[in-house]
Amino acid sequence: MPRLKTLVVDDEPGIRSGINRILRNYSVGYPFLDEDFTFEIVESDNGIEALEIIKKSKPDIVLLDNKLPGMDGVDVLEHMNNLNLEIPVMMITSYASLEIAVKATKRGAYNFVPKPFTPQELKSATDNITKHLFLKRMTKKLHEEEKLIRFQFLSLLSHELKSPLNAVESYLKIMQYKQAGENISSYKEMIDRSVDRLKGMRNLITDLLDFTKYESGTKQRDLKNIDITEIAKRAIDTVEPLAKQKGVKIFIDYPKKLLYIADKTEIEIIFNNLMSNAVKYNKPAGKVNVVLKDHIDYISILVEDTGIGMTNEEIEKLFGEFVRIKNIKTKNISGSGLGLSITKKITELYNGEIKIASKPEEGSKFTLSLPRNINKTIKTSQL
Amino acid sequence: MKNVKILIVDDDTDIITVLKAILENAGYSVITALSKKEGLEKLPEKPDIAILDVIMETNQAGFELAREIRKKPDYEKLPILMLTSVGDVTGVNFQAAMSDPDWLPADAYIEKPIEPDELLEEIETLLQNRE
Repeated sequence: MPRLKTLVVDDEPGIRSGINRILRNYSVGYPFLDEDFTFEIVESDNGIEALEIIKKSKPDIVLLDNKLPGMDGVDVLEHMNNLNLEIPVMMITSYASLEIAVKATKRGAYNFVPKPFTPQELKSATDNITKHLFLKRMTKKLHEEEKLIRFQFLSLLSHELKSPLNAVESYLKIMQYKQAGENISSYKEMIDRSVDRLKGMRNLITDLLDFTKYESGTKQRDLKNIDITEIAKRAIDTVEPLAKQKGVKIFIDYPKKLLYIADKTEIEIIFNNLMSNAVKYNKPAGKVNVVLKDHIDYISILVEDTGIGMTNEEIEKLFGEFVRIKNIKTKNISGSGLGLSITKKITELYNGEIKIASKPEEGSKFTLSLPRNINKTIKTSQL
Repeated sequence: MKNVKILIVDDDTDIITVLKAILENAGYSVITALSKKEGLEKLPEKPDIAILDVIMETNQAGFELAREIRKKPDYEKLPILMLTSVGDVTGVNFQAAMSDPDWLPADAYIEKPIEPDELLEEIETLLQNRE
Protein backbone atom coordinates (compact mmCIF):
# COMPACT_ATOMS: atom_id res chain seq x y z
CA MET A 1 0.00 0.00 0.00
CA PRO A 2 1.58 3.28 -1.01
CA ARG A 3 2.10 5.33 2.17
CA LEU A 4 2.01 9.09 1.78
CA LYS A 5 4.23 10.99 4.19
CA THR A 6 1.89 13.64 5.60
CA LEU A 7 3.22 16.56 7.63
CA VAL A 8 0.71 18.22 9.99
CA VAL A 9 1.72 21.68 11.17
CA ASP A 10 -0.47 23.20 13.88
CA ASP A 11 0.40 24.76 17.23
CA GLU A 12 -2.63 23.16 18.94
CA PRO A 13 -1.83 19.62 20.12
CA GLY A 14 -5.56 18.79 20.17
CA ILE A 15 -5.83 19.56 16.46
CA ARG A 16 -2.74 17.55 15.62
CA SER A 17 -3.89 14.48 17.51
CA GLY A 18 -7.38 14.86 16.05
CA ILE A 19 -6.04 14.85 12.53
CA ASN A 20 -3.77 11.94 13.37
CA ARG A 21 -6.70 9.92 14.65
CA ILE A 22 -8.82 10.62 11.59
CA LEU A 23 -6.19 10.01 8.94
CA ARG A 24 -4.22 7.13 10.31
CA ASN A 25 -7.02 4.69 9.53
CA TYR A 26 -8.11 6.42 6.37
CA SER A 27 -7.31 5.46 2.79
CA VAL A 28 -7.88 7.04 -0.59
CA GLY A 29 -8.17 5.16 -3.83
CA TYR A 30 -9.51 5.01 -7.38
CA PRO A 31 -11.58 2.06 -8.56
CA PHE A 32 -9.02 1.36 -11.26
CA LEU A 33 -6.07 1.30 -8.86
CA ASP A 34 -5.14 -1.94 -7.15
CA GLU A 35 -3.88 -0.26 -4.03
CA ASP A 36 -5.15 2.60 -1.93
CA PHE A 37 -3.07 5.41 -0.49
CA THR A 38 -2.66 5.56 3.27
CA PHE A 39 -1.10 8.24 5.43
CA GLU A 40 1.96 8.26 7.60
CA ILE A 41 1.60 11.27 9.91
CA VAL A 42 4.48 13.46 11.05
CA GLU A 43 3.73 16.43 13.31
CA SER A 44 5.20 19.84 13.98
CA ASP A 45 4.02 22.78 16.06
CA ASN A 46 5.89 25.63 14.37
CA GLY A 47 6.88 26.91 10.93
CA ILE A 48 10.64 26.79 11.33
CA GLU A 49 10.72 23.17 12.43
CA ALA A 50 8.19 22.34 9.71
CA LEU A 51 10.51 23.77 7.05
CA GLU A 52 13.40 21.70 8.40
CA ILE A 53 11.29 18.56 8.23
CA ILE A 54 10.19 19.49 4.73
CA LYS A 55 13.73 20.03 3.55
CA LYS A 56 15.04 16.86 5.15
CA SER A 57 12.37 14.27 4.52
CA LYS A 58 10.28 15.71 1.64
CA PRO A 59 6.73 14.84 2.71
CA ASP A 60 4.16 14.04 0.01
CA ILE A 61 1.45 16.27 1.50
CA VAL A 62 1.47 19.12 4.05
CA LEU A 63 -1.47 20.17 6.26
CA LEU A 64 -0.73 23.69 7.40
CA ASP A 65 -2.31 25.96 9.96
CA ASN A 66 -1.90 29.69 9.40
CA LYS A 67 -1.66 30.89 12.99
CA LEU A 68 1.73 29.55 14.08
CA PRO A 69 4.28 30.92 16.57
CA GLY A 70 7.05 32.92 14.90
CA MET A 71 6.21 32.27 11.25
CA ASP A 72 2.75 32.38 9.69
CA GLY A 73 1.50 29.51 7.59
CA VAL A 74 1.47 31.72 4.48
CA ASP A 75 5.14 32.47 5.08
CA VAL A 76 5.89 28.76 5.34
CA LEU A 77 4.19 28.49 1.96
CA GLU A 78 6.41 31.21 0.57
CA HIS A 79 9.54 29.40 1.75
CA MET A 80 8.28 26.14 0.29
CA ASN A 81 7.87 27.87 -3.05
CA ASN A 82 11.44 29.09 -2.92
CA LEU A 83 12.53 25.52 -2.42
CA ASN A 84 10.67 24.47 -5.59
CA LEU A 85 9.38 21.32 -4.00
CA GLU A 86 5.93 21.04 -5.59
CA ILE A 87 4.37 19.54 -2.49
CA PRO A 88 0.59 20.07 -2.33
CA VAL A 89 -0.53 22.00 0.77
CA MET A 90 -3.88 21.95 2.54
CA MET A 91 -4.48 25.00 4.75
CA ILE A 92 -6.29 24.29 8.02
CA THR A 93 -7.14 27.52 9.69
CA SER A 94 -9.53 29.04 12.18
CA TYR A 95 -8.72 32.64 11.43
CA ALA A 96 -10.05 32.27 7.94
CA SER A 97 -10.34 35.64 6.38
CA LEU A 98 -10.72 36.28 2.68
CA GLU A 99 -7.39 38.08 2.69
CA ILE A 100 -5.51 35.09 4.08
CA ALA A 101 -7.34 32.72 1.75
CA VAL A 102 -6.33 34.79 -1.26
CA LYS A 103 -2.74 35.08 -0.05
CA ALA A 104 -2.47 31.36 0.59
CA THR A 105 -3.99 30.51 -2.76
CA LYS A 106 -1.64 32.91 -4.53
CA ARG A 107 1.24 31.19 -2.84
CA GLY A 108 0.08 27.86 -4.10
CA ALA A 109 -2.04 26.25 -1.38
CA TYR A 110 -4.18 23.56 -2.97
CA ASN A 111 -7.25 23.62 -0.71
CA PHE A 112 -8.69 24.75 2.64
CA VAL A 113 -10.32 23.12 5.60
CA PRO A 114 -11.64 25.72 8.02
CA LYS A 115 -11.63 24.89 11.74
CA PRO A 116 -13.65 23.52 13.36
CA PHE A 117 -13.95 20.66 10.89
CA THR A 118 -15.77 17.38 11.08
CA PRO A 119 -13.88 14.15 10.35
CA GLN A 120 -15.85 13.90 7.12
CA GLU A 121 -14.79 17.39 6.04
CA LEU A 122 -11.15 16.55 6.67
CA LYS A 123 -11.43 13.23 4.83
CA SER A 124 -13.09 14.94 1.88
CA ALA A 125 -10.35 17.55 1.59
CA THR A 126 -7.72 14.82 2.00
CA ASP A 127 -9.37 12.85 -0.79
CA ASN A 128 -9.10 15.84 -3.08
CA ILE A 129 -5.52 16.66 -2.33
CA THR A 130 -4.40 13.04 -2.62
CA LYS A 131 -6.03 12.55 -5.99
CA HIS A 132 -4.56 15.84 -7.16
CA LEU A 133 -1.11 14.59 -6.15
CA PHE A 134 -1.62 11.29 -7.92
CA LEU A 135 -2.76 12.94 -11.15
CA LYS A 136 0.12 15.37 -11.11
CA ARG A 137 2.63 12.55 -10.75
CA MET A 138 1.00 10.41 -13.43
CA THR A 139 1.03 13.34 -15.85
CA LYS A 140 4.69 14.00 -15.14
CA LYS A 141 5.49 10.33 -15.66
CA LEU A 142 3.64 10.27 -18.97
CA HIS A 143 5.44 13.38 -20.17
CA GLU A 144 8.74 11.79 -19.29
CA GLU A 145 7.77 8.61 -21.07
CA GLU A 146 6.74 10.70 -24.04
CA LYS A 147 10.07 12.47 -23.98
CA LEU A 148 11.83 9.13 -23.81
CA ILE A 149 9.81 7.78 -26.72
CA ARG A 150 10.55 10.91 -28.73
CA PHE A 151 14.24 10.63 -27.91
CA GLN A 152 14.30 7.01 -28.98
CA PHE A 153 12.44 7.87 -32.17
CA LEU A 154 14.82 10.69 -33.05
CA SER A 155 17.85 8.53 -32.26
CA LEU A 156 16.51 5.81 -34.47
CA LEU A 157 15.73 8.32 -37.19
CA SER A 158 19.24 9.73 -37.05
CA HIS A 159 20.66 6.24 -37.44
CA GLU A 160 18.37 5.49 -40.39
CA LEU A 161 19.47 8.65 -42.15
CA LYS A 162 23.16 8.23 -41.44
CA SER A 163 23.33 4.64 -42.66
CA PRO A 164 22.72 5.35 -46.35
CA LEU A 165 25.04 8.36 -46.17
CA ASN A 166 27.80 6.23 -44.68
CA ALA A 167 27.33 3.60 -47.36
CA VAL A 168 27.38 6.08 -50.25
CA GLU A 169 30.32 8.00 -48.86
CA SER A 170 32.27 4.80 -48.28
CA TYR A 171 31.63 3.72 -51.89
CA LEU A 172 32.76 7.12 -53.13
CA LYS A 173 35.98 6.87 -51.14
CA ILE A 174 36.77 3.51 -52.67
CA MET A 175 36.28 5.04 -56.09
CA GLN A 176 38.32 8.04 -55.09
CA TYR A 177 41.24 5.87 -54.03
CA LYS A 178 40.64 3.51 -56.95
CA GLN A 179 40.68 0.62 -54.55
CA ALA A 180 39.04 -1.73 -57.03
CA GLY A 181 41.35 -0.97 -59.94
CA GLU A 182 41.42 1.50 -62.83
CA ASN A 183 38.52 0.09 -64.79
CA ILE A 184 35.22 1.97 -64.38
CA SER A 185 33.20 -1.21 -64.90
CA SER A 186 34.43 -2.56 -61.56
CA TYR A 187 32.68 0.33 -59.95
CA LYS A 188 29.36 -0.11 -61.71
CA GLU A 189 27.87 -2.16 -58.92
CA MET A 190 28.94 0.45 -56.36
CA ILE A 191 27.49 3.27 -58.39
CA ASP A 192 24.18 1.39 -58.78
CA ARG A 193 24.05 0.68 -55.08
CA SER A 194 24.79 4.30 -54.24
CA VAL A 195 21.94 5.45 -56.43
CA ASP A 196 19.64 2.91 -54.74
CA ARG A 197 20.62 4.02 -51.25
CA LEU A 198 20.03 7.67 -52.13
CA LYS A 199 16.62 6.78 -53.52
CA GLY A 200 15.94 4.99 -50.28
CA MET A 201 16.90 8.08 -48.33
CA ARG A 202 14.57 10.22 -50.38
CA ASN A 203 11.72 7.76 -49.76
CA LEU A 204 12.53 7.75 -46.09
CA ILE A 205 12.32 11.50 -45.88
CA THR A 206 9.01 11.58 -47.77
CA ASP A 207 7.57 8.83 -45.56
CA LEU A 208 8.84 10.64 -42.53
CA LEU A 209 7.05 13.82 -43.49
CA ASP A 210 3.82 11.86 -43.99
CA PHE A 211 4.36 10.12 -40.73
CA THR A 212 4.89 13.32 -38.79
CA LYS A 213 1.81 14.84 -40.35
CA TYR A 214 -0.30 11.95 -39.09
CA GLU A 215 1.49 11.91 -35.78
CA SER A 216 0.93 15.62 -35.13
CA GLY A 217 -2.63 15.63 -36.34
CA THR A 218 -2.01 18.32 -38.90
CA LYS A 219 -3.02 16.29 -41.93
CA GLN A 220 -6.14 17.65 -43.53
CA ARG A 221 -8.67 14.91 -44.08
CA ASP A 222 -11.13 14.84 -46.95
CA LEU A 223 -13.76 12.29 -45.99
CA LYS A 224 -16.08 11.24 -48.79
CA ASN A 225 -18.01 8.21 -49.93
CA ILE A 226 -15.38 6.45 -52.04
CA ASP A 227 -15.10 3.15 -53.90
CA ILE A 228 -12.52 0.96 -52.19
CA THR A 229 -12.49 -1.51 -55.09
CA GLU A 230 -11.36 1.24 -57.45
CA ILE A 231 -8.50 2.22 -55.15
CA ALA A 232 -7.41 -1.39 -54.73
CA LYS A 233 -7.32 -1.89 -58.48
CA ARG A 234 -5.27 1.23 -58.96
CA ALA A 235 -2.78 0.15 -56.27
CA ILE A 236 -2.38 -3.17 -58.06
CA ASP A 237 -1.64 -1.35 -61.32
CA THR A 238 1.02 0.67 -59.52
CA VAL A 239 2.78 -2.40 -58.19
CA GLU A 240 2.39 -4.38 -61.43
CA PRO A 241 5.83 -3.51 -62.91
CA LEU A 242 7.63 -4.73 -59.80
CA ALA A 243 5.44 -7.83 -59.67
CA LYS A 244 6.18 -8.61 -63.33
CA GLN A 245 9.89 -8.29 -62.67
CA LYS A 246 9.67 -10.96 -59.99
CA GLY A 247 7.14 -13.10 -61.81
CA VAL A 248 4.66 -12.54 -59.00
CA LYS A 249 0.98 -12.96 -59.95
CA ILE A 250 -1.69 -10.87 -58.26
CA PHE A 251 -5.24 -12.15 -57.80
CA ILE A 252 -8.10 -9.99 -56.59
CA ASP A 253 -11.56 -10.89 -55.33
CA TYR A 254 -13.78 -7.86 -54.91
CA PRO A 255 -17.38 -6.64 -55.04
CA LYS A 256 -18.14 -4.53 -58.12
CA LYS A 257 -18.31 -1.48 -55.90
CA LEU A 258 -17.32 -1.21 -52.27
CA LEU A 259 -18.44 2.12 -50.87
CA TYR A 260 -16.96 3.46 -47.67
CA ILE A 261 -16.63 6.92 -46.17
CA ALA A 262 -12.93 7.72 -46.08
CA ASP A 263 -10.12 9.97 -47.19
CA LYS A 264 -8.95 8.71 -50.59
CA THR A 265 -5.27 9.42 -49.97
CA GLU A 266 -5.29 7.52 -46.69
CA ILE A 267 -6.81 4.41 -48.25
CA GLU A 268 -4.33 4.67 -51.14
CA ILE A 269 -1.46 4.75 -48.68
CA ILE A 270 -2.76 1.61 -46.98
CA PHE A 271 -3.13 -0.30 -50.24
CA ASN A 272 0.18 0.87 -51.67
CA ASN A 273 1.96 -0.19 -48.51
CA LEU A 274 0.34 -3.63 -48.21
CA MET A 275 0.67 -4.35 -51.93
CA SER A 276 4.28 -3.27 -52.15
CA ASN A 277 5.20 -5.40 -49.13
CA ALA A 278 3.32 -8.39 -50.56
CA VAL A 279 5.38 -8.17 -53.74
CA LYS A 280 8.73 -7.12 -52.24
CA TYR A 281 8.81 -9.92 -49.71
CA ASN A 282 7.44 -12.50 -52.11
CA LYS A 283 9.25 -15.39 -53.73
CA PRO A 284 9.95 -15.35 -57.47
CA ALA A 285 6.89 -16.69 -59.33
CA GLY A 286 4.91 -16.27 -56.12
CA LYS A 287 1.30 -15.18 -55.64
CA VAL A 288 -0.51 -12.29 -54.01
CA ASN A 289 -4.17 -12.59 -53.10
CA VAL A 290 -6.29 -9.51 -52.39
CA VAL A 291 -9.83 -9.96 -51.05
CA LEU A 292 -12.24 -7.10 -50.38
CA LYS A 293 -15.49 -7.81 -48.54
CA ASP A 294 -18.47 -5.81 -47.38
CA HIS A 295 -19.69 -7.02 -44.00
CA ILE A 296 -22.30 -4.22 -43.60
CA ASP A 297 -21.05 -3.18 -40.14
CA TYR A 298 -17.50 -3.11 -41.42
CA ILE A 299 -15.39 -3.73 -44.49
CA SER A 300 -12.43 -6.07 -44.67
CA ILE A 301 -9.26 -5.86 -46.74
CA LEU A 302 -7.14 -8.98 -46.95
CA VAL A 303 -3.70 -9.07 -48.58
CA GLU A 304 -1.83 -12.33 -48.50
CA ASP A 305 1.38 -13.44 -50.17
CA THR A 306 3.39 -16.61 -50.71
CA GLY A 307 6.53 -14.89 -49.59
CA ILE A 308 9.30 -15.36 -47.10
CA GLY A 309 7.00 -14.95 -44.13
CA MET A 310 7.93 -13.99 -40.59
CA THR A 311 8.60 -15.62 -37.24
CA ASN A 312 6.41 -14.77 -34.26
CA GLU A 313 9.25 -12.66 -32.91
CA GLU A 314 9.41 -10.66 -36.11
CA ILE A 315 5.63 -10.18 -36.15
CA GLU A 316 5.72 -8.65 -32.71
CA LYS A 317 8.19 -5.97 -33.76
CA LEU A 318 6.50 -5.25 -37.03
CA PHE A 319 4.63 -2.01 -36.48
CA GLY A 320 7.43 -0.15 -34.78
CA GLU A 321 8.92 2.88 -36.44
CA PHE A 322 11.79 2.11 -38.78
CA VAL A 323 11.37 -1.56 -38.13
CA ARG A 324 12.32 -3.52 -41.16
CA ILE A 325 12.73 -7.20 -40.61
CA LYS A 326 16.42 -7.83 -41.16
CA ASN A 327 17.49 -11.34 -41.85
CA ILE A 328 19.36 -13.14 -44.55
CA LYS A 329 16.22 -13.43 -46.68
CA THR A 330 15.47 -9.70 -46.63
CA LYS A 331 19.03 -8.69 -47.38
CA ASN A 332 18.32 -6.94 -50.62
CA ILE A 333 14.86 -5.59 -49.94
CA SER A 334 14.68 -1.85 -49.49
CA GLY A 335 12.17 0.21 -47.57
CA SER A 336 11.95 3.05 -45.10
CA GLY A 337 10.52 0.99 -42.30
CA LEU A 338 7.75 3.54 -41.82
CA GLY A 339 5.19 2.06 -44.20
CA LEU A 340 3.48 -0.24 -41.74
CA SER A 341 3.66 2.33 -38.93
CA ILE A 342 1.80 4.79 -41.13
CA THR A 343 -0.67 2.10 -42.21
CA LYS A 344 -1.36 1.28 -38.58
CA LYS A 345 -1.85 4.93 -37.64
CA ILE A 346 -4.26 5.43 -40.52
CA THR A 347 -6.20 2.28 -39.58
CA GLU A 348 -6.55 3.63 -36.07
CA LEU A 349 -8.07 6.85 -37.43
CA TYR A 350 -10.96 4.71 -38.64
CA ASN A 351 -11.15 2.79 -35.35
CA GLY A 352 -10.04 -0.19 -37.42
CA GLU A 353 -7.87 -3.21 -36.70
CA ILE A 354 -4.98 -4.95 -38.43
CA LYS A 355 -4.34 -8.64 -37.87
CA ILE A 356 -1.30 -10.55 -39.11
CA ALA A 357 -0.77 -14.24 -39.66
CA SER A 358 2.51 -15.47 -41.01
CA LYS A 359 4.68 -18.56 -41.38
CA PRO A 360 8.34 -18.40 -42.35
CA GLU A 361 8.89 -19.65 -45.90
CA GLU A 362 5.13 -19.87 -46.50
CA GLY A 363 3.93 -16.29 -46.55
CA SER A 364 2.07 -13.58 -44.69
CA LYS A 365 -1.54 -12.52 -44.44
CA PHE A 366 -2.61 -9.01 -43.43
CA THR A 367 -6.28 -8.50 -42.60
CA LEU A 368 -7.65 -5.01 -42.08
CA SER A 369 -11.13 -4.39 -40.77
CA LEU A 370 -12.58 -0.90 -40.94
CA PRO A 371 -15.89 -0.32 -39.16
CA ARG A 372 -18.76 1.67 -40.55
CA ASN A 373 -20.17 4.13 -38.03
CA ILE A 374 -23.80 5.05 -38.46
CA ASN A 375 -23.57 7.88 -35.93
CA LYS A 376 -20.29 9.03 -37.29
CA THR A 377 -18.13 11.19 -35.10
CA ILE A 378 -15.55 12.10 -37.63
CA LYS A 379 -12.14 11.96 -36.01
CA THR A 380 -9.63 14.62 -36.74
CA SER A 381 -6.27 13.02 -37.34
CA GLN A 382 -5.38 13.66 -33.74
CA LEU A 383 -3.70 10.82 -31.95
CA MET B 1 51.81 -14.08 -44.58
CA LYS B 2 48.60 -12.58 -45.76
CA ASN B 3 46.72 -15.76 -45.13
CA VAL B 4 44.70 -13.73 -42.73
CA LYS B 5 40.96 -14.25 -42.32
CA ILE B 6 38.84 -11.28 -41.27
CA LEU B 7 35.31 -11.63 -39.91
CA ILE B 8 33.05 -8.67 -40.77
CA VAL B 9 29.74 -8.25 -38.95
CA ASP B 10 27.43 -5.43 -40.11
CA ASP B 11 23.70 -5.33 -40.88
CA ASP B 12 24.24 -2.98 -43.83
CA THR B 13 25.03 -5.02 -46.95
CA ASP B 14 26.69 -2.05 -48.63
CA ILE B 15 29.14 -1.62 -45.77
CA ILE B 16 29.92 -5.33 -46.09
CA THR B 17 30.56 -4.80 -49.80
CA VAL B 18 32.83 -1.84 -49.08
CA LEU B 19 34.83 -3.67 -46.44
CA LYS B 20 35.08 -6.77 -48.59
CA ALA B 21 36.37 -4.72 -51.55
CA ILE B 22 39.00 -2.94 -49.47
CA LEU B 23 40.18 -6.01 -47.59
CA GLU B 24 40.22 -8.49 -50.45
CA ASN B 25 42.04 -5.96 -52.60
CA ALA B 26 44.66 -5.84 -49.88
CA GLY B 27 45.02 -9.61 -49.92
CA TYR B 28 42.95 -10.62 -46.90
CA SER B 29 40.23 -13.23 -47.02
CA VAL B 30 36.87 -12.25 -45.65
CA ILE B 31 34.03 -13.95 -43.73
CA THR B 32 30.79 -11.97 -43.54
CA ALA B 33 27.78 -11.88 -41.20
CA LEU B 34 24.71 -9.63 -41.12
CA SER B 35 23.82 -9.86 -37.45
CA LYS B 36 25.14 -10.66 -34.00
CA LYS B 37 23.56 -14.10 -34.26
CA GLU B 38 25.16 -14.82 -37.62
CA GLY B 39 28.47 -13.44 -36.39
CA LEU B 40 28.56 -16.01 -33.61
CA GLU B 41 27.61 -18.75 -36.04
CA LYS B 42 30.53 -17.88 -38.32
CA LEU B 43 33.08 -17.84 -35.49
CA PRO B 44 34.09 -21.51 -35.92
CA GLU B 45 35.64 -20.49 -39.25
CA LYS B 46 38.48 -19.18 -37.10
CA PRO B 47 39.00 -15.56 -38.13
CA ASP B 48 42.21 -13.78 -37.14
CA ILE B 49 40.48 -10.45 -36.62
CA ALA B 50 36.87 -9.39 -36.16
CA ILE B 51 35.37 -6.11 -37.37
CA LEU B 52 32.03 -5.39 -35.69
CA ASP B 53 29.40 -2.76 -36.38
CA VAL B 54 27.87 -1.32 -33.21
CA ILE B 55 24.16 -0.90 -33.98
CA MET B 56 22.57 -3.94 -35.62
CA GLU B 57 19.49 -5.81 -34.40
CA THR B 58 19.63 -3.57 -31.33
CA ASN B 59 21.64 -0.55 -30.23
CA GLN B 60 23.80 -2.86 -28.12
CA ALA B 61 24.30 -5.71 -30.58
CA GLY B 62 27.93 -4.91 -31.42
CA PHE B 63 28.96 -4.50 -27.80
CA GLU B 64 27.17 -7.70 -26.82
CA LEU B 65 28.82 -9.58 -29.68
CA ALA B 66 32.28 -8.38 -28.62
CA ARG B 67 31.65 -9.60 -25.09
CA GLU B 68 30.35 -12.95 -26.24
CA ILE B 69 33.31 -13.51 -28.55
CA ARG B 70 35.72 -12.84 -25.71
CA LYS B 71 33.97 -15.35 -23.50
CA LYS B 72 34.69 -18.18 -25.91
CA PRO B 73 37.82 -20.17 -25.04
CA ASP B 74 39.61 -19.86 -28.40
CA TYR B 75 38.81 -16.18 -28.86
CA GLU B 76 39.85 -14.47 -25.66
CA LYS B 77 42.65 -12.75 -27.54
CA LEU B 78 40.95 -12.22 -30.90
CA PRO B 79 41.64 -8.63 -32.00
CA ILE B 80 38.34 -6.77 -32.28
CA LEU B 81 37.81 -3.57 -34.25
CA MET B 82 34.54 -1.67 -33.74
CA LEU B 83 32.89 0.28 -36.53
CA THR B 84 30.95 3.25 -35.37
CA SER B 85 28.86 6.05 -36.80
CA VAL B 86 29.99 9.43 -35.51
CA GLY B 87 28.03 10.42 -32.43
CA ASP B 88 26.27 7.07 -32.41
CA VAL B 89 22.78 6.81 -30.99
CA THR B 90 24.17 5.64 -27.74
CA GLY B 91 26.44 8.68 -27.45
CA VAL B 92 29.13 6.38 -26.15
CA ASN B 93 32.66 7.59 -25.68
CA PHE B 94 34.64 4.74 -27.19
CA GLN B 95 37.87 5.45 -25.39
CA ALA B 96 36.03 5.19 -22.09
CA ALA B 97 34.11 2.11 -23.16
CA MET B 98 37.25 0.28 -24.30
CA SER B 99 39.06 1.03 -21.08
CA ASP B 100 36.55 -1.24 -19.36
CA PRO B 101 36.84 -4.73 -20.90
CA ASP B 102 33.65 -5.82 -19.18
CA TRP B 103 31.79 -3.13 -21.08
CA LEU B 104 33.59 -3.19 -24.45
CA PRO B 105 36.40 -5.70 -24.88
CA ALA B 106 37.52 -4.20 -28.19
CA ASP B 107 41.03 -3.23 -29.21
CA ALA B 108 40.30 -0.31 -31.51
CA TYR B 109 37.52 1.54 -33.25
CA ILE B 110 37.14 3.45 -36.48
CA GLU B 111 34.40 5.78 -37.57
CA LYS B 112 32.21 5.51 -40.61
CA PRO B 113 32.30 6.50 -43.43
CA ILE B 114 35.16 4.14 -44.01
CA GLU B 115 38.48 5.61 -45.02
CA PRO B 116 40.25 2.72 -46.84
CA ASP B 117 43.78 3.67 -45.70
CA GLU B 118 42.68 4.15 -42.13
CA LEU B 119 41.03 0.74 -42.10
CA LEU B 120 44.07 -1.03 -43.53
CA GLU B 121 46.45 0.71 -41.14
CA GLU B 122 44.33 -0.22 -38.16
CA ILE B 123 44.24 -3.86 -39.26
CA GLU B 124 47.99 -3.99 -39.74
CA THR B 125 48.53 -2.54 -36.28
CA LEU B 126 46.20 -5.08 -34.72
CA LEU B 127 47.95 -7.93 -36.52
CA GLN B 128 51.37 -6.73 -35.46
CA ASN B 129 50.35 -6.35 -31.83
CA ARG B 130 49.00 -9.83 -31.89
CA GLU B 131 52.36 -11.37 -32.72
